Amino acid sequence: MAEEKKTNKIIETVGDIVTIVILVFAVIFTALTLTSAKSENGLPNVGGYSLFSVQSDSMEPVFYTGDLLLIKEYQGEELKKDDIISFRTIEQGQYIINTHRIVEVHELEGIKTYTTRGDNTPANDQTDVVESEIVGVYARADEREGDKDKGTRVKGLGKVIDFVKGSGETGDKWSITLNEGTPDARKLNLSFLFFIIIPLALIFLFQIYKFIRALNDTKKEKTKAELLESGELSEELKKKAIEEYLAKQAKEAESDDDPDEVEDD
Amino acid sequence: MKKTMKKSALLSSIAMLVVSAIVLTSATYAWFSSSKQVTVQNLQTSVKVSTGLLVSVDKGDNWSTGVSFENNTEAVRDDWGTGIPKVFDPVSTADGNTWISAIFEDGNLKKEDEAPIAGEDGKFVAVPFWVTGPAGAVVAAEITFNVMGNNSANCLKFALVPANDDGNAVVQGKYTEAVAAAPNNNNEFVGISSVGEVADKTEGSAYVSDGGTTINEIATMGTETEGIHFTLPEGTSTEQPMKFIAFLWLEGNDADCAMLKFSPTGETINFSMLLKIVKEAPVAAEPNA
Repeated sequence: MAEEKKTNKIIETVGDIVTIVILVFAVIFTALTLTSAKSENGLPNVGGYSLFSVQSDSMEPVFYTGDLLLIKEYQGEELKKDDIISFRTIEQGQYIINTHRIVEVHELEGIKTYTTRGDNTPANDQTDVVESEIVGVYARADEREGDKDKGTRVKGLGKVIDFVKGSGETGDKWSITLNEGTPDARKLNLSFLFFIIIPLALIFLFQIYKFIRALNDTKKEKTKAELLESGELSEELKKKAIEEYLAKQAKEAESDDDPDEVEDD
Repeated sequence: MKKTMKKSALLSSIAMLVVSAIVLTSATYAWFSSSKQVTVQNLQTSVKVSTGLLVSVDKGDNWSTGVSFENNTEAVRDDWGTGIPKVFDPVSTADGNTWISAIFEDGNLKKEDEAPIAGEDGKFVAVPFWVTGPAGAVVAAEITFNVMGNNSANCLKFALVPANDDGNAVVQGKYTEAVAAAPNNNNEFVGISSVGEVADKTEGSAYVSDGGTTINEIATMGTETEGIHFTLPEGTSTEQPMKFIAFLWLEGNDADCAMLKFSPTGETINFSMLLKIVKEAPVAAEPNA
């Protein structure tokens, strides 16, 4: 009996830990998804910093495909050669975000433009970048240590976030399109559904079960105590109830002495 | 002691229930918010400029180095709209100013009474854009179109014409001579000014596809003497930029095209224009002391 109760306790503790871990991840990914959906450039933004998942190898070895970069929001500060910036550009008629190094700075009638290039590309980018297209700054030239850029990145985490959020090339593979070919067509992300929504729904159902059980336990205790106090029981039943009550108290006293035991009636 | 334990178990289960309900609701909302509206229209357009040039689709309110035609907010004429048509009906023009709905029936061109208009609710694209850079610089253009062998897309034609701002008038100029009309069917002339006349090839317009290749370069990057090129006139600035109009239409004065409609759904079609300085502006001579 004691062994069984110990096992139940362990299972319950493990279950609680798993629940908390899932809830924490769910909160993080929900925040990332919501801030991406609301932001102009589609990047998740928290406290003036955007998270950018690298989609190509154009900036190797500074960072690699699948890395997650922390980009500081551009506030209009002066930019110099060798700064690494994130910016919107058009590729095949669509706006995308690119993160490349500034190689030249130009000015045309007071409008600054920046020629950019990937460290791993043979030529400069086809078009320059104007200030209104700059999303943020990854690393500053004057913070470089030798030839090492001082930017914040997490290796490989970009792919995980793309997968769960349904963004980038990784996310596209895990999406389905509803009402395809109609004006109401919408692309839904399946990985977010399977790894966040469904586990959360299961946790929610399990919490309902735990709540109902806890509620029933509390009601049972209340009923016995009420009957004894109201005197509705016959003398014989009263005696029996008292005996049962005393036996229970004795048992509880025992389990209070043994901290590993938990009452479960 | 036991009662306290049971009560705290009940309270903690209520707290966890509330927390999990809030997180589940927020996550579900985030999931739906992030679902992307898939654009039905897959004609993707862009005008990009290289170092030293800037381009605008809103008359210079905002300058950029790359714009999409879908973002233009200025109509060429008051009675025309902006944007890309949902459906391209066959139309024709000789100068970009006068347009007719052109339908071939029994070998004859049938003209409709109502003149077609440009824009999302119209039948062809007419997008003005403005370019600025150093006065005197020679700018060349490269135009590419990615069409996947769609029959009706083969009948799309493109023309780039300079324009002036007075009343949104369109001026056919010599800038587009290098892009000659190239009918994709034998011995057919395209582009007329009125019904019934035999037309010369419309100067400055070209079919965007030769009928099946994946990439068609309407014009390779020009040079200071060949291909599409122009000189930024004196006085060019962000206050006085050079204006162009890009036209894209389904050629109606072509028996093989006139019965078609083009609706850019399904396969993605990319149209892009790149402008680049090929000869720097002359440096003003220093006055002698």
